[in-house]
Amino acid sequence: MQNVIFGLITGSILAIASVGLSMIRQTEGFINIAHGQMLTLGAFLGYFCVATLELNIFLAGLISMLLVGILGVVLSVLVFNPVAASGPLAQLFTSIGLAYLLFGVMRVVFGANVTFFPTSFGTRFDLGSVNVTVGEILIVVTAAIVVGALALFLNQTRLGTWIRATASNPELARLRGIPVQRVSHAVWFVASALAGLAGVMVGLIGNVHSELGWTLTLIILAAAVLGGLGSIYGVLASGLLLGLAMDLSALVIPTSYRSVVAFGVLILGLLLRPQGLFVTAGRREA
Amino acid sequence: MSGLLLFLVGVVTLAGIYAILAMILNLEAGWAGMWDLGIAGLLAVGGYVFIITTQQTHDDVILTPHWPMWAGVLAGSVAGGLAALIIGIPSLRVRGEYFLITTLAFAEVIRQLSINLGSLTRGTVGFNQFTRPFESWTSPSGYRWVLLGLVWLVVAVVYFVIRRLGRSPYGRLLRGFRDNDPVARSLGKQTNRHRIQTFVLAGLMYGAVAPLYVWFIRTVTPSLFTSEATFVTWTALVIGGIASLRGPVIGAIILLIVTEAASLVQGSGDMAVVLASVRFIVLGLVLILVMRVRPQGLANERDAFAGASERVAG
Amino acid sequence: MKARLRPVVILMVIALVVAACGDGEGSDTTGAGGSTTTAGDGATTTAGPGTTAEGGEEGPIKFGMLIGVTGDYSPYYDVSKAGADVAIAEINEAGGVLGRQVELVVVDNKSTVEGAVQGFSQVTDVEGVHALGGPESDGAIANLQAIKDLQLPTICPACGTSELDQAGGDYIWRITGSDSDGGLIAAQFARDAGYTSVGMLVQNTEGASAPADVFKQVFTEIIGGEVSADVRFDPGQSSYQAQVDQVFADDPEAVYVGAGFEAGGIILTEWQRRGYGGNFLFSPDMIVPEIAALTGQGVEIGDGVAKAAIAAYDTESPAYESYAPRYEAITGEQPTPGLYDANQYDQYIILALAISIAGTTDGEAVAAVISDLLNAPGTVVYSYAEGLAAIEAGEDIDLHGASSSLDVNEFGNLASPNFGEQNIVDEQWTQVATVELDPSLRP
Repeated sequence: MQNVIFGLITGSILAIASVGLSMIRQTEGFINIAHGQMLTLGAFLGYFCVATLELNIFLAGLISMLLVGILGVVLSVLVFNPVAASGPLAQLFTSIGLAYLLFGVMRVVFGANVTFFPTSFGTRFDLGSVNVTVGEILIVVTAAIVVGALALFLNQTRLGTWIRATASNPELARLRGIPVQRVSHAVWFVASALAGLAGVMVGLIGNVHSELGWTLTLIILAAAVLGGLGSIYGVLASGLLLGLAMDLSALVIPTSYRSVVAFGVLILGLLLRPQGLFVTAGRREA
Repeated sequence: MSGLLLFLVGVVTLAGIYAILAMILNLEAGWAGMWDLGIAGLLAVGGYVFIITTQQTHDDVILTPHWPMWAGVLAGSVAGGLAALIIGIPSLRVRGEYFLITTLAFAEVIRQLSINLGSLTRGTVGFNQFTRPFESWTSPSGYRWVLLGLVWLVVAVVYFVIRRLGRSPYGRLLRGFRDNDPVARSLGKQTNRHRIQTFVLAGLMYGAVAPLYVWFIRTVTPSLFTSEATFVTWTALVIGGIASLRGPVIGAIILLIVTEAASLVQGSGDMAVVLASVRFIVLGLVLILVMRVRPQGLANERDAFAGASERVAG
Repeated sequence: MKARLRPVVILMVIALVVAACGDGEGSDTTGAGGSTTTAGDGATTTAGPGTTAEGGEEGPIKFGMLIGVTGDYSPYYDVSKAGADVAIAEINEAGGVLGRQVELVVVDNKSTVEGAVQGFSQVTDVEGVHALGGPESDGAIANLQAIKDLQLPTICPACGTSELDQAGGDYIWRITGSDSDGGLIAAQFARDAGYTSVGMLVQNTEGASAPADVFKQVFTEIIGGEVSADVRFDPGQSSYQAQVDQVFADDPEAVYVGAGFEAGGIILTEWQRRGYGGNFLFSPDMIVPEIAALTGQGVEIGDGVAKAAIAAYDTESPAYESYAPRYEAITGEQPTPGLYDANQYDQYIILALAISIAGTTDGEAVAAVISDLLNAPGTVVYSYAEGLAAIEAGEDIDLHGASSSLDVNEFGNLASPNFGEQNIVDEQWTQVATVELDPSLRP
């Protein structure tokens, strides 16, 4: 049972990290490999705020989200928009190039060392046979709140509706007069901010170093693809699913196979439902 | 200056190896449209099968057949093809980015297995201290020239094989499938069969050339087969020009020389950290700029097939 | 086609020019007092080590340092370089080797195997070093055959890999304890503390799993204890909650943790968070400041809760007493066994004395004298100058270094390394006792 708690924590973070990737895929049309580096940046900024500026963790998280979100928009304008016309392969490789670039810059600025967040996790609660700490509850709750806010935003606001329209059919959206540029900026901001938040969470649970982006990109990709790149809720669900699968599998097989489990679930899922687990309508072809 | 020349021999040898990998990738990605991110996995299968069947140094593994080198190369090739078959059948049911992620997932699984199946692969320690072909021909420091010649001989062979394939009806058919050519589409269900064939062919080739990489690095460990090898191959292909003939070779040479040349510039310790990071920054910038300015890469598909009959009725 | 290739050609020419210019300034030189002196014009060294032809007679003696400046091993670089610098300065102050100044050539292996192979070519072909120091375990193994082929005397300051247990002695020596011994000592600790049930949490890398396997074998088969859980994990993940929970599930008296500090830190903070309790036996990779600093963040592993052992520095040896203040002058810190800085110092003293004895830089001749100069019989010497004096007086020497007495066996391994038990005291790893390896525990 304890492993379910672990799975929820891992899964929540994974879900937040993957949603952004999926949003960009839907509205911009390509997989942004640099997403993982945004997460790393969030972790570094969060650590900087807590350790050097000595802010509290919530403020640090908020600042990280804002800064990474803004950077996402800036990069989209400078780097991605100019190649939008060259096709998804060019965009994919531009994102890989950007990932390398960001990785190199972060190493120069933040160094190559490994650090741990100097934050306590609060008291531990025992609920029957499981235990959980305040900090971990906060992570899951924050994730839930953020997801809820995202859903509200997408469904109840005009900008959100525009985003959904653009995601399902960009040409039609443009014809109907939806301000495509504004939608694009909004998506990049939200997606990057979410990545930054996920980065702070990852830093809290684990550690902070420049390689974070690469190691997590694979698993985020798996969650996004498994959920069906076209479905936000699908991606969230598959993020949770993967997190749970990985931590629950520890009960039956050696934990050195943890990532194999994640990829096994991915492969199995795609075998059964090639368009992704939770997609009902047809999705956009690459 | 002669020392620098000797060092460059190594760089050019490695460039040749990546040129071969990029050419094979071109076959499946450039012409058949299959975006394969699992190259490192197929390479690992070929490399490990080769070394397990041929090595003579270590006795603490369960399989020590001590086969001759050519048998090992063959075994590695067959293993690569088999692995491609196993991976391909489920993966080719999905398209585009889904295929990409699935192949990447398989490559990671293979790498994990190479770590965990220690009784077969010696785990993270791997294999070392093995003989290489034609080693008796020269002194140890002269061997680099032998390897250089061997690698570029294989480059030439692969080049001509792929060119032959590309200009054949088979190759035209593949590109037709990729471009959704109406004539090709009218052949319907054969698409998948052709894709699997191509994928398995690529697997056979990756497996066959894996020993070259093994002989160059002189050790076989799981850490050699991370996704970085895959990304370097892709970058070489993309820079050089996807779907062209010369592209992969050009791209590999440029990429390797630029990145290895950067490592020759030395300085103090603090500088070295910055410099190593600069290497990534340069790599990233090159990719971004090439995509921005010449997204089809430096060489061109049209030129590759100029003169060969390209138009199919319809 | 020609027009399109022009930018390509220009790019390649630029790259080659950059590389060629880099070659001339490629060495990091340390003269007496730490000022940088460029020895010679640096451009005409012949390729390959130990050539007594042309360039071998003039110009500096080049010692290579092939090490992880960047990448996973980079946290160790600064202290390693400091140790090496102390040695080079000492050698040059005493007049150099064979009357020639010594130059340290640092090449980054990027902490990868591929980097180590490329770096080895750079350090031999381009730089033409006469001897090599500094490599880590995986790089040393990858280049092992090449080292033998080229007859390049090589000292490994910190290679723990069990692969070297029997592979060295002719061209490669390692002056630290083997991982096999590390695992054995951990089992000895467990026995001496009276543990009957121990859990294991081990990283899936060679440096961690090899000693862990030895620990398991010795603890279960020879000591008769029980391993309640053997949990292996991949490094590089962001949390290890499930693994930690699994290993503490049966409430073992202690847990053996074999991991690098990146994963180790995450494991320990999780352990503290959930309040599992119990004691720890750490592998040597955990004896780093980052882990000790965790006690300042509330992780209660100090004062003997966590024990580790590492080849100890003999702090009473004159060699150590002479080395320590000079090291501290550069880094502001005391020498630390877990960071192998004194080993980096010793390796170059060894190589300098070996060349002095052989009277030539020829690899084969130099390598032939190394084991002798490290072992008895001979006049015991504690520094390069002392060694030089004894050599000139026609005596055999027995070098004792700052890291240990440096006695080696036929395989180039330390014959009987001294181990020290380390605990965390006041947020620092501190040696609290010396440990003698119990030979009855050898499998």
